Amino acid sequence: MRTSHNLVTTQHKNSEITDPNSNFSLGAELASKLFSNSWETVQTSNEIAKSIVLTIRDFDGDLSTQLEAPLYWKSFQEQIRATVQFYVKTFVANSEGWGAVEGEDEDVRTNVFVSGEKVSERSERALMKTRNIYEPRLN
Amino acid sequence: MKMRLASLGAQLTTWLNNAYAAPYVINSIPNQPLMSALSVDLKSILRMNYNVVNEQLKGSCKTDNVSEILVLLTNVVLQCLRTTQENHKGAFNLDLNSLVCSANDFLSIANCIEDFFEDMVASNDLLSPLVEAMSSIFTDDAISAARSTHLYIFECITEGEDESQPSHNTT
Repeated sequence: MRTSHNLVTTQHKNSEITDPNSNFSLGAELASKLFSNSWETVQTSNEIAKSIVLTIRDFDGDLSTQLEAPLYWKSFQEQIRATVQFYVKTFVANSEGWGAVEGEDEDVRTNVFVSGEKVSERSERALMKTRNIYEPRLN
Repeated sequence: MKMRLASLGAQLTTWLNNAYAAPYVINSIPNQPLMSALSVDLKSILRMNYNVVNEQLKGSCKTDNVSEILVLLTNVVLQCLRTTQENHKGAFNLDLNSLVCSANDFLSIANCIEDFFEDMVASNDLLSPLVEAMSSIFTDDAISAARSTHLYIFECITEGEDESQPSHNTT
């Protein structure tokens, strides 16, 4: 009957306290940089992915001490899910202007979607609906 | 007795509302989970209520009546806690720190409830599902709040887009 019985406990990570607000510039606009032209051609050593991971790790260092261990685990699981969702969402949103047409100049690119942003929003809404249906059963 | 329980319920709701409405002071100790006084407040309110009822029941009732009244009372307490928690939990989602703190508070309240009723449940089978329901209100909200933390992390990452993420974790 103990509350913790259905919460998986996890190892308590020791990391120094950092103020998440101090790193705001680090994460700023990472979404628009990911899968962009410069991501494709210039920043080819995963610089943006590294920034994303660093931002998450910064927050995570605080959360690991500020949240009770079983709750931190829940938060961590959600972070993984949110990261995947973020990648897919950004991929779709930034896919406008992709896809060089064969035979034409490589710089001439057509849109995969009319509006990547709209597609991303709509697929997120669809996912949310699905989630609302399945989530109560998962818990 | 029904009247008495109804008035107890009304009083309990007032006390709970006051506890939730109190200024939310986050106790921040380095390398310790963030906590506020909410769980301690709720625990003392519970204790006060049950002490009053126990005093009144002492000597005035037969033993089987006592356990029946305790079940009725616990049912009232469950309803009150459920309503107040439902009404107030959203108010803690102001920023990452208060969200984290409220997650810890809710988990602590769930633990408090289980500790508090431990002896009573042992001597009364009917109480067990009520107490379980009570603590799961808070466990669920604690998990839900802990899960919502990613919204703040990704708000930071997507900074510039300025879109308010829908909070899909409120069930």
